[in-house]
Amino acid sequence: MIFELKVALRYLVSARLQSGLLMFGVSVGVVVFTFIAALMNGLSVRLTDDIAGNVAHVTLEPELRVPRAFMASPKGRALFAVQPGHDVEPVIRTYRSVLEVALRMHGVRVAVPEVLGNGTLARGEKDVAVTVTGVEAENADAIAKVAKSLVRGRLDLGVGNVVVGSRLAAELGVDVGDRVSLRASRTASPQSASGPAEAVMVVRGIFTLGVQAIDERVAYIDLTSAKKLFGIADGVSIIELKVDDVWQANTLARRLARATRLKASTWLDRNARLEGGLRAQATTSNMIKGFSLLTIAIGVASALFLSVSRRRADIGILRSFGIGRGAILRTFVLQGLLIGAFGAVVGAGLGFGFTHLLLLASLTATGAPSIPVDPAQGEYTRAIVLALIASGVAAVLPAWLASRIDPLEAIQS
Amino acid sequence: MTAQDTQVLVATDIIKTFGEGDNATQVLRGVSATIARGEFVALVGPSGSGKSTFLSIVGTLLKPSGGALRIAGEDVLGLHERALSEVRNRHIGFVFQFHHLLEDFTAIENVLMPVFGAHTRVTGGFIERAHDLLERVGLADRVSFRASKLSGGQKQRVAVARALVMKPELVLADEPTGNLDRKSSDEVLRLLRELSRDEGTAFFISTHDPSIAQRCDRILTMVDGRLTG
Ligand SMILES: Nc1ncnc2c1ncn2[C@@H]1O[C@H](COP(=O)(O)OP(=O)(O)OP(=O)(O)O)[C@@H](O)[C@H]1O
Ligand SMILES: [Mg+2]
Repeated sequence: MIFELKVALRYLVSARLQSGLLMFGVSVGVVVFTFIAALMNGLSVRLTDDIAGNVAHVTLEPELRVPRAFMASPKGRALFAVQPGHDVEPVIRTYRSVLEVALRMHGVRVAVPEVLGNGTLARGEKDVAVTVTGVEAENADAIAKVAKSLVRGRLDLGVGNVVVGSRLAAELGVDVGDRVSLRASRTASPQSASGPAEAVMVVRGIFTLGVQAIDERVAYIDLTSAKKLFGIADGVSIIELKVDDVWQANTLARRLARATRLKASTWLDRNARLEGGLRAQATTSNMIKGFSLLTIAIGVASALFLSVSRRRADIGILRSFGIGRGAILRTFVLQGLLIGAFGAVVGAGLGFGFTHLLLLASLTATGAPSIPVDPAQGEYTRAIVLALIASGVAAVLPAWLASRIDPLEAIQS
Repeated sequence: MTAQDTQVLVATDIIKTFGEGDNATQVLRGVSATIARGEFVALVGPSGSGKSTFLSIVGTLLKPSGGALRIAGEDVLGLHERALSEVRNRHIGFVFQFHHLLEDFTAIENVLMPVFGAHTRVTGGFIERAHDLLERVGLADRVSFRASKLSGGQKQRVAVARALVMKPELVLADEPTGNLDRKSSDEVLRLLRELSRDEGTAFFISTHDPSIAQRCDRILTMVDGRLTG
C-alpha cells in the first residue's frame, strides 16, 4: 500500500487546485447533510415536544360500564337495553395499586391521579362552563407545564385555590386574588341528592399554555376538593402518565392496559397526523441527504475520470515495468477515499460551526431560537462515514478503467 | 552454461497481424532473432517496417499472432497478465521515445518506481543503487529534482537509470534518442554502452540514426515485416 498511497497523495498534491476544489465540493455536500440532519431532527424534536410536552402520554381510564336494563322480548327471552350516558361517572377505585403497577413499569416517568368533572365558574353575574381538573398539589406541574406557563400569580393548589387559563380569566374578568364560585354540573355520586355541590375559591394563578382548549376551559384545583365537589368518596377519574420515550407510548399503553384492566389511550391516538407528518419530514430529510451524497459521488467520479485520462501515459509506463493492475486500481480508489475523508471531516467541522452560528443568529429575546436547528443532532459521524463510502464507491469505476488501460496504447498515443 | 542460458531473447517466427478479414494487415511476417547476454544490438529499417511492433512483442506488451518467444529462458507466450507483469519487472527494462518519466515525481522517485512491482517497500539497497545509477548517468546533482524540471536529455538519462534499477537482462529502447539533439543522443548512447558493459545487460535499440547503429555490436535490419541480412 506504500506505493499506492505515495502515488495517490502525489497526484492529489500536484493537482492541488482541482483536489482542493473537489474536497471543498465534498465538504459542501457534507455541510448540507449535517445541516439538514440538525434542522430536521431539531424540528421533529420541537414538534414532538410542543405536542407531547403538555399532554399525558398515556391516559388510563375505567372502561365505560354501560347500564343495562332488562326488557321482555317478544320471544320470551330477556334482552338488555343499553343506555349510554345515563350512568354515573366511572371511577378508578383501585387507583393506588394501579399507580404502583404503573410506576414500577420501566419507561414510566410519572403517574398522576386526577379527578375530572364539568362545572361552572362564576363571578358576579358572569359564569363560564369549565373542565375541572383535580390534582394533588405536588403533581400540578407533572403533565402540562403549568408552572412555566404562568402569566400571573403562582401555581398554588392549596385547599380553596384555583388556577385557571388566561382566556378563561379574561372571559370572566378575574385576576389573581379574586374570589370565584365553582359549581359542579353534575355529581358523580347519585346519593348526593342535595343538588350540585358548590365551593368558593380564590384565583391564585393564571396560565397560558398556548393550547386554546386548555387556556379557555381548564380550571385546576386540589384533588381532595375536586373529590368533594364531585361527590367521589373513593377513587379518581383518570390516571395520566408521562413516559421517557414518547414513541414508546403505544407499547407501554398496551402493557398497562393488560396489567391494570383499564382502558389505556395515548397521545399518539389523539395526534395521528403528527406521526404521519414526522414520517413525511424524515423521508424528505433522507432524500436531501441522499442527494447530497449523490452529488459527492458524482463530483468524485467525474474528477477521477479526468485524472485517469490525464495520467494515461503514467499508467502505461508504470504497467510497462511491472506494476500490476491491482496496484493501479488501488491507487485511484485511494485518491477517492482521501478526497472523501478530508472533505468529509472538513465538511463535518464546517457543518458543526454553521449550525451553531445559525442557532446563535436565530436566538430570540426569550432565549428560544426561531429556527429549530439542533447542532447536537447533525449526525456528523454518519455524514463522514457515508461521504467516505460514497467517495470510495464513486472512485471504483474510474479506478477500474485505469487498471484496464493498455500500456502499449497509452505509451504510443 | 548451455547456449539456451546465454540467450536473453529468443524470438522464433514471430507473426503479427492487425485487424481481421479484408482489413487484416500482416506487419510482422516471421521474424526470428536471438540476443545474447550483454549484447548491444541495433534494429533499423524504414518507417512502418514493424520495428516498434516487434519491440512491443518482445517486451510482452503486445501479443504476437504466431511464433515463439523466450525471455531469459522462459517461454512467455501463454502467460497471464500477472505473470507477464512479473517477467517485465524482473527481466526487461524499457526506454521510450516519448513519455519518459512520471512528471510529478523526482528523478530518484522515478528511478525507484519499478521496485514497487516486486516489493512493497523500497529498501536501502535499492536506494543506494538508484543513487549510483543517477550518478553514472551524470545526474548526481539532480537526484531530488522534479522530473518536470529536467531537460529532455536529462529525462531520458533518468529513464535509462530507471530501466536498469531492477538489473534486467534485457533493455528495450524504441528510438531512445529520437527526440534528442546530436550531442544529447551521443551522450545517451555512450551511457548505454557503458552500462551495458558494466552491468552485462543486453540492449535492443531501434533507431533511424545510422551513426548510432554503427556503434552497436550488431545491426538487424527490418524491411516490410522481415529481418534481412
Ligand atoms: N495497433 C495497430 N493497428 C493496426 N496497425 C498497426 C498498429 N500498430 C502498428 N500498425 C501498423 O504496423 C506497421 C508497423 O508499425 P511500427 O510502428 O511497428 O513501424 P516502425 O517500424 O516502428 O515505424 P517507425 O520507424 O515510423 O517508428 C505500420 O504500418 C502501422 O501502421
Ligand atoms: Mg516505431
